[in-house]
Amino acid sequence: MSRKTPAVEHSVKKLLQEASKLTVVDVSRETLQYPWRKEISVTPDVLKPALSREIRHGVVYPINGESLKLRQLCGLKPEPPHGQCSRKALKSKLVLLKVCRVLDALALKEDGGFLY
Amino acid sequence: MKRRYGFFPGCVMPAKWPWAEKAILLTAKRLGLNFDYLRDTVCCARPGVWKVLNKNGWIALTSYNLALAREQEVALVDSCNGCWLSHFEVNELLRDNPALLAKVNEYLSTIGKFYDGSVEVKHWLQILNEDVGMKEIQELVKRPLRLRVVRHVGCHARKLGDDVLPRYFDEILEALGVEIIDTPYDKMCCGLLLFLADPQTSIKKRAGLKLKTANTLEVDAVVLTCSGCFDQFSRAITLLREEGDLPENPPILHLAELLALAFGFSPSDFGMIYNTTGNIAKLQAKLGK
Repeated sequence: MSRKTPAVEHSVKKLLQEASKLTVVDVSRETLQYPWRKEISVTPDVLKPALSREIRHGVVYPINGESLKLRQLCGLKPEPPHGQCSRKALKSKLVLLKVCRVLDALALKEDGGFLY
Repeated sequence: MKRRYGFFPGCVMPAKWPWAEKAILLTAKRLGLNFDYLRDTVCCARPGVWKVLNKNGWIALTSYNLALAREQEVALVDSCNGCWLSHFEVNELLRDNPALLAKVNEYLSTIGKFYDGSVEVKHWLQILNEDVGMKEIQELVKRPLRLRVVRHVGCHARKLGDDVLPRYFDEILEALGVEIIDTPYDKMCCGLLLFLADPQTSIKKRAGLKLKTANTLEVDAVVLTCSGCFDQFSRAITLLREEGDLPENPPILHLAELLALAFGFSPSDFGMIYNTTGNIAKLQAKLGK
């Protein structure tokens, strides 16, 4: 059975509140046309895959085999030359997340897993 | 000496939208820009997630990219509105708050980096409009595009108001000879962030609604610059097609693809032919007329 700290629950609730705010730009028009704004009930599980992937690979969308092929077909170097997925970049990111105590705050493990 | 630009393609574009990345590189070269990738970067970090989940982490991760831009002596360029928002907002925060900048430098020092607030963060639309200019772009147009498009500027691009990035977007389209078709949903979000919380609403009432509107208006393409929006539109297309709820739709294009076409590049020069978001053959046929 999963166990969630109040801090994580609070973060997720806040995220969802912010997400619904950020999603609506023209509030007056939106409210007029869509009277469906509502309370959204979501568990932290929705965030786990994306966050885990990001911690593990350094990016939300790592380049996979299909992307490599497409990049070549488009005339690009298959591996992004900007080194976004490089070991060096990922290591720096992990160090930053550790010194800012982000991993603790979000109950994340260094390998992208969750503590609970 | 010409200004140097460090392009930050983000994570969606290299993985899912390489023809847009190539179009940006090709057109930057044609425009004579000193334009290359910003190197060794980390994720932007996503403002819609990290900023809310852990503001400290968001500032630290984003500052790392700013520190790289300082080291590499470039202006940091984003095409994705989300990436731009993170870099822009954190840069402003650090410039306005010396104590925060000092704190961030404590974090950065653990990986041998330093930041002083000196980097210029620019959206790709700003490079085209402010640094290049419409006159120069028009002079490079070899083939005015007689296309009708719906444009989706994206929410975060409205951060500076409608008179900056949204206006630049329209002016560039007009310079290419493209007809802009307004819709009642132009300012509505694509639904990317909402997808985390309510996928059905996010797909059907946001991106899906925009796509169906574009169908009704019989436009040739939906044009954007934001990789996050592209991710959401392409996801909506896949899901709605699977449900049989979207038999066809105009392709989703990056504005740089139109720029490249207008500059005389062919769709195969930058891989546009691999775009499966819509009927590219139909678009090509129209361009060929």
